[in-house]
Amino acid sequence: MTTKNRAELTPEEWLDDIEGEFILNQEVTHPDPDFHEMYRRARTRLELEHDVLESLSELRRATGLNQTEIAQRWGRSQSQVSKVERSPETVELATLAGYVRALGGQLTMTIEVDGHVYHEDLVISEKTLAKGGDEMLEKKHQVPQVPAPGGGKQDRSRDKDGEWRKKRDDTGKARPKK
Amino acid sequence: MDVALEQVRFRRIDGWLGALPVEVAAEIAALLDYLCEHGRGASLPYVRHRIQTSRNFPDMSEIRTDQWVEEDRYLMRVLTCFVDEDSKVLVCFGGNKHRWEQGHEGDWYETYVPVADVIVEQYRRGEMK
Repeated sequence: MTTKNRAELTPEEWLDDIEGEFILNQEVTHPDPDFHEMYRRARTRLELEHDVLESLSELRRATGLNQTEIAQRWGRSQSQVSKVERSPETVELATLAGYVRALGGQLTMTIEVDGHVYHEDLVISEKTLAKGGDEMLEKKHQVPQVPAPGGGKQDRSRDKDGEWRKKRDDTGKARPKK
Repeated sequence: MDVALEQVRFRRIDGWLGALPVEVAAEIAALLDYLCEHGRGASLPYVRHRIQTSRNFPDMSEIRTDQWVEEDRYLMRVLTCFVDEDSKVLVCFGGNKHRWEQGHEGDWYETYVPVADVIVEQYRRGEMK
């Protein structure tokens, strides 16, 4: 049933049925009997990921850890943990990354400007961790070069809709086989 | 604030989804429901809003998935539009951006955002009848 050709329609083919009906509020179906189970799993995962908690302290409590335990993991005082949780917007990014690491999580940064999207995972460098600090961040993924406005290096890194071609989910490079 | 929206699909979408590998189709179907559940509150990396080149800016959005099935990459983009005063998500067009870029020069969005715009306009014409 699954064919690559049917899934790859040209713009003309896609629109040759433009007078066709629109379907309202009907479940998507698929000929494969595993579809519903796969759909259910994907839906559950998405909802869990979207379930953003209201505060860092709420997030910490969801992990089952108290401030003292986080402080021990982080190598900082309990009062510093408290300060981060009270005012995360006022602390250094690297400090926040250290706190998140102690939680067992990952700090990510998403910047969106006029439809241009940049996404970065921020991690504490192992060298810095070995020194017992967290003042330095290293970027897990290479930042694309932004050309100077009106000249300089030709901008080949974005497509017409402002997406970075070199972004990690659009690289086109073959992933290592599992 | 998140609100549940109705989902309207251009009829071709269903045939297209049915022809995709089941894991890809399931992910897209789940993302469409996620988008309807959260509207403009649905967020990256799964949904990108305000497609700039669309005639329906700022209502055109896209669903984004990236999966491998055996040796094939499915870098899927599904273009959707908030319609009827944000009460519905209209699912217009879907395609494999990676595969398309392997066989074509130019930009996927430049080719297919106008297709989605035509479908939105067709839907609105139908609504006005």
